[in-house]
Amino acid sequence: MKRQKHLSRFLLALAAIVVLVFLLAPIIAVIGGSFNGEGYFSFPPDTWSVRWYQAAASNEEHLSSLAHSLKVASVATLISVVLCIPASLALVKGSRKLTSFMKKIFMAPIFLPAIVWGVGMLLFFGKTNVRGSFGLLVAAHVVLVTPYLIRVVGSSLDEFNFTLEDAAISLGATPAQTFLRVTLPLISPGVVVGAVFGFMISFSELIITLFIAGSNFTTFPVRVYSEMRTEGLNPMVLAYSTIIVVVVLVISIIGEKCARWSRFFS
Amino acid sequence: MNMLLLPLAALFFVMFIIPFFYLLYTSFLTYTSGQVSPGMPFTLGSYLKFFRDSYYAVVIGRTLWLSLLSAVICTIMAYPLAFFMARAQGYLKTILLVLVTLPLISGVVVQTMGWYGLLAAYGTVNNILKALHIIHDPIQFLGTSSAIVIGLVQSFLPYMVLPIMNILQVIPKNVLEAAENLGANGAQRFFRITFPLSLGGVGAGFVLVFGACLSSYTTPSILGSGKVQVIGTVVYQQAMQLFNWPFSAAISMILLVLLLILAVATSLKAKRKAANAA
Repeated sequence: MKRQKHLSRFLLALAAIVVLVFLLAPIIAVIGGSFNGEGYFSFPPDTWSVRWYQAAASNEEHLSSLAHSLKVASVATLISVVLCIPASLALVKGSRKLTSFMKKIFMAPIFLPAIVWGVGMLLFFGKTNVRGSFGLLVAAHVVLVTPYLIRVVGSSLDEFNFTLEDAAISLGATPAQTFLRVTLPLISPGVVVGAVFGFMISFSELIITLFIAGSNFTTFPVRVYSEMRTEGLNPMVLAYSTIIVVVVLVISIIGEKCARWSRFFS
Repeated sequence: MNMLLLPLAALFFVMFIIPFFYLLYTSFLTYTSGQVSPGMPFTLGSYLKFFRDSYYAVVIGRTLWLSLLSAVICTIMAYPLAFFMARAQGYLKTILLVLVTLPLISGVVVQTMGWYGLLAAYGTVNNILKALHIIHDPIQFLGTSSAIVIGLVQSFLPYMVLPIMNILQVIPKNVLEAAENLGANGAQRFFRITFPLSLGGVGAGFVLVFGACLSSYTTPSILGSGKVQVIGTVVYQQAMQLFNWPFSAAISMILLVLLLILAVATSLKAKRKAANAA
């Protein structure tokens, strides 16, 4: 009986490990392949070297696409934070009917396929000279990250004790003071988590960017995607991707440890 | 109060709602001799083209089949991992959660890149198979449906693992203890209590993965190498390469209808279940 129990536990752990290895296989291949000394993909590496990291450090084209991605993601996240904090407050305090409708609208970008939304924007903005502009790309990315911010900020507002605001006001604080010195500090952990999350979603976004970004403003995912389609796998791209994965990993560990943020996925 | 909502609502109106209705509008426009003809009456031409040409019937059938297959494989693979994670605690649990969400957060482009290398003719998988003397000549994975299924299963696996894990965690321990006291063995406890109670999570994950596969573009585009077309890649091709905008709009709408059917079927089933329970 006991033996059977041990056996089933062992089999379960084994199955879990096999699935986990499958799940992480591409990431492991990217990391391992980035240390290959040859000019082609090989995992495990044929020869070990860091030459692709050296090459990556001085490749203008890729570095500028990385800079573009960082710029879009940070500007879009910042704007989304500024728009989402008041909107989330309104959603918590507003009438049930309006807020449940607006919440659905704000969550919609998660559910509408990016390919459909992308085509919609391409068709609508396609003939105008707005298409290809930095402003349009940022506006689209603001919409893209908003569902995550609304969800995370909303859940920290759900836990927020609004009698604290009443207390501040009855003690003579203006609404602005109340917001800046009571509400905002208490919801700021949620805002930070939502912002970091949104930033990473925006940074790795491919499809809508493919449809509306200008050819002179290539983001990193778009550049990598186009290269893979035309030239195949470039080992230098593995080096950049490894750095990105490591950064994401570090942030995820902090996010999971401090905010248990995997819950925002399901 | 509505003033606080207004800026964000306005942005969504311009960037999200108007483009959507413009897409719907475009799908009824006339397309002749390589361009959209304005001023023509609305037509169902693009929709008819889709349903008359057997090529697109094959594409839609393939997309549905690959999505279904991916979702089924995802379920089978996710369950043991979710079960293991539901029981894990402390640091192990944190590490597992980080690792499971890593593919989601690092983005589908990185995942596809990895598979591209692993599945290439001289890639890791072929090398292993050759070393084991299972094959002589490399298998061409890239450009086939199997490569797409592998990529889709891996990319969307987290969407299946997390809901199953969540539901397994809330199954009350005392129910299982009661069953044990009444003499149920491990297998009986699993198949008659844990598994039936976890079906809600499996269903939620299944719908999520199936829908994500139907709408996918990046994975089929790279791992299919342009040889295997699905709805997503056809939409892109029509819009960005052939510039048949009404047609790309019509296919987008058909994809949305498929997703809507999926959503309605799910909610009907959930309602019936709730009604039965009550």
